[in-house]
Amino acid sequence: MKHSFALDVENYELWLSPGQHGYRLHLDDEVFAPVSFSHELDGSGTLVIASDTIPVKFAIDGDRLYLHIRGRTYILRYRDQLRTLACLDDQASHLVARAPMPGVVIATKVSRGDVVSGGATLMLVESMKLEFVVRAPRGGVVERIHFGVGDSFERDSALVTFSEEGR
Amino acid sequence: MQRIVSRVDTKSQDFRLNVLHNRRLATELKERQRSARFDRPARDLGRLRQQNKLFVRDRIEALLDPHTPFLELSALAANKAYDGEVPCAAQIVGIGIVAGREVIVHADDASVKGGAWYPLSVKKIVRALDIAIENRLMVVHLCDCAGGFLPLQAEFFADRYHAGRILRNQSVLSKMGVPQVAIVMGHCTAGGAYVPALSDYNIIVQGTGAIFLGGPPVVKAATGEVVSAEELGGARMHTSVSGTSDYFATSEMHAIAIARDIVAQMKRPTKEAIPQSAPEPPAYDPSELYGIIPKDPRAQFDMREIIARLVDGSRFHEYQPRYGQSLVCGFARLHGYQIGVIANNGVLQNESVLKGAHFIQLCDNNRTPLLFLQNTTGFMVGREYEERGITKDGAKLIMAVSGAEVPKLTVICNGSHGAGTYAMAGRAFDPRFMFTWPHSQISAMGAEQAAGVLTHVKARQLARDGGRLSDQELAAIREPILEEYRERSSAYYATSELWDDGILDPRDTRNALSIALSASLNTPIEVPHYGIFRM
Repeated sequence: MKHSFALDVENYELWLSPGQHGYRLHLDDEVFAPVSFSHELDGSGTLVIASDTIPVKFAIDGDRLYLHIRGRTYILRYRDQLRTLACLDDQASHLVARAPMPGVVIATKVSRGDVVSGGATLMLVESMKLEFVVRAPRGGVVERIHFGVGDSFERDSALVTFSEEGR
Repeated sequence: MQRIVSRVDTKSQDFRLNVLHNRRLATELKERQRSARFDRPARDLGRLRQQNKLFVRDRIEALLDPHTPFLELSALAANKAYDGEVPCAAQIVGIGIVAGREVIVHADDASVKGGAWYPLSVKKIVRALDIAIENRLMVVHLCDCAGGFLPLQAEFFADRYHAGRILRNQSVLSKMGVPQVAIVMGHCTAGGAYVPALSDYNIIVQGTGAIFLGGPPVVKAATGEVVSAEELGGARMHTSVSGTSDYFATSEMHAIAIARDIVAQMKRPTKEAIPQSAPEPPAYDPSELYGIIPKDPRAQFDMREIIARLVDGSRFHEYQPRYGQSLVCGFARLHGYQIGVIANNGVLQNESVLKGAHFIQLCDNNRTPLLFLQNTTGFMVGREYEERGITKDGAKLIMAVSGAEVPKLTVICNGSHGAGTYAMAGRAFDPRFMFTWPHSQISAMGAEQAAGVLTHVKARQLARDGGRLSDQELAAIREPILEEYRERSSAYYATSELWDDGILDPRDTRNALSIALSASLNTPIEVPHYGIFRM
């Protein structure tokens, strides 16, 4: 599995593999070698790609890499495969907020037909003398609220169901 | 170390004929491997697409670090079994690099009979886990198995090395502190359910992955309960309710990314520090092996010519070059690692056997892994040799081979017959890895001799009943015996039955051995100790 970077709107899959002299850069079906980078202080260094030797300045901010090469600035974004490959979960099971443990409803914060976004507060419930918040697993329209204030529920009960509408 | 001076005439007629013959064998091997790896009925591939599943080879490619080698083992397992309908024994096993670490990959191939376990599938998985145990290699399981192939259950269920051994080996690995990661990409039912459960980490793919002891049809038959696979043992249930699985993945690629991230957290094993120098290719081109291996398996050739095309710089420090010359022993380097080479150069006689036993102890003391190159018809027979104690001396070699603590690697380069198969670190002697060249013959006795003996026995039986056989009748008995014997002594039969870890193109042997040797050094080498040598 290669690394993935975004430059503007394009995504690039690439990989560095050790070669006989320095690294080899694999980009799609192309190979560039040798590739090396000598890091000098203060966010600058010298990049060698095949026969090109280029001085660069750079700054790294989390997943973003700001790169100044030949008078132009590029912003590269590292796309963590763990995140990018976790595609949106459209399964019906995730249209339901479920109870992680048995408890009693203290308050409901939404009504039927409300449009909510992922993470929105749906209910306050009490279990084992502790209060906790039930949040929307994803965005959608509230279709049904299964329990009213004072009702008790079992572990894994459906508390709030959503529909796709309005998304 | 001195460079071997090759005496092979690469311009000779023999050399050229050998090249033609052996290239043809290598091409045939590659074609058989390609077919076993990729030829599947369109119906089965269509079903995978329908289920939104990747082909097992694509899963493995995504798992491994790009542009790193993958040493696939026993690709031709089961090629002579089940009418050839279970290519690779429906399992892919190999050593590859994940997140910079050496791992064993074990993957069910759902494009073959739904990934059902056949007896040879079980043998292959057990072997993969034995390799993991012996070489302390992390394991990544890609699980997608329909369960055992029930009509043949008597051949894979209850015995010591049957399917239970998979679970036992997994538990042993965990106890040894060697991590396993499983990805549930299909149904893991009954015994197969324990493969992810016994892995230290497991990931389950939403929609396609499921784990249960009894699937929905079994549950319905047993209790009448009607339940879907997803409800019964799907990703949501196992990651949020039962805790059988650790990570929820929304797709196969997501699961593979998680597995790579898990492996990246594991500490790197410290390798046994054996003498090492900068690797160097052999001075003689390994492709010349094609011209050296004779067309006629009975023709003799000098094993030093083979060694010259396997080891670094073709350099070889020969031990006792003037004594027991039918066994060549000496030190060399393989991709920089120091090794001791033991190679047959004729029939095993008293002196050669003693030399071999001595050399093994030298290597063991020196922490030098051993490479056995087999081309043996066995030990010398006859009154003179028995009087000189050939059996007693043979026992010394077998004692030394069995007792050596250093990793052993074995390649069958041509013939492997009789007790020579044993004394030269055959499969029963736990070489860490064992490979075969395509033209090799492996049997208790050579085909010609065996057919002769069997024909002779048959003729004597008939003679007792007063009959006498004509030459024609003798030939009619002999031919089918010879034919079947040859078939079952071939390298393809051996690899089909997993008597080795795969057939190698001679030219690729150096690279395969280097990967195997590197893997073998994950296990600390114990202090040498032996049983009693009969003196």
